[in-house]
Amino acid sequence: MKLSTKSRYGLRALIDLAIFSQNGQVALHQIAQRQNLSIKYLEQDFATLRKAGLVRSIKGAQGGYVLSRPADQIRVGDIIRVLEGDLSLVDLDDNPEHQTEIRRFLNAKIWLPLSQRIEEKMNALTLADLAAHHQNEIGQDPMYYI
Amino acid sequence: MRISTRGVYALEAMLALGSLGTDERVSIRQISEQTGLSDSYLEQIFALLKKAGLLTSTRGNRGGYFLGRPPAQITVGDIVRAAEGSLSPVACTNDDALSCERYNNCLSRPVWSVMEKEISGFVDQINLADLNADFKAEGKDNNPEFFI
Repeated sequence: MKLSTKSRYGLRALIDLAIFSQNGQVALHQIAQRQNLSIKYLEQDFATLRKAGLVRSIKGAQGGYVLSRPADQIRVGDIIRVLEGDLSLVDLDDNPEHQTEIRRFLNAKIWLPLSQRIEEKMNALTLADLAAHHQNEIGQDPMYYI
Repeated sequence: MRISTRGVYALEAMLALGSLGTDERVSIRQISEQTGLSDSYLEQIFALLKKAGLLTSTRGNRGGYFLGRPPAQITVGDIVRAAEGSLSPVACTNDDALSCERYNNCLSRPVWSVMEKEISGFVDQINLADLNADFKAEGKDNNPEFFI
């Protein structure tokens, strides 16, 4: 089981944005540089995130991106759902012809409850939590970290 | 983010094997009848489960598969990990720090650690004996003849 690079890199870029956009928009090339990610890749991810209403772009020479709402109102679950497609852990085959007694049982007993638990955990985490976690860890004001 | 069909089917096959009785050797054919999975796919999955010591097999006309250890000592986590390779959503939550140069200052690793703990915490606490018992109990509930 592995998460796609889309959500791994996208989430990292968004946490970076949450940390560094407190005084205004941030250009993608700055995020790319800090996070060692390709700018082309980030452009695609941010187009997806903008369409989903998680970030806003600001045009112009000093243009860049900001979060569309405060970081404590952007849930990690929302971000992964947007970038990964959804948050479910297994592809549940719901074709009734493929349903065996065993499959129905395991879906109800294992896969659905597990997916729900992960979803709850991811919905309980916000970008603000992750930005704060990082700042605690480095013990510095983000402005001096550049 | 997905547990692939390999992990899902491995668990189905192990439950089928348990429900067919633990004293006898069980053939691939019997398991494929109960799970609807093809013989060749089951053989691939069983090779992984055997490698992990969860299954043993004997050859010959009375040969077949049986559990590698008592079902109470096989967790759902053991089975899915054996089939999937790992249950970690990203490489860095179960590998060492060398897996990534950004390991120590990664912004998103806390998220993946939470996810990994949540998945492992769930699948490691359910063993195959309990799962078999629940499956049998449920079968009785669904079987109208039981109430006659």
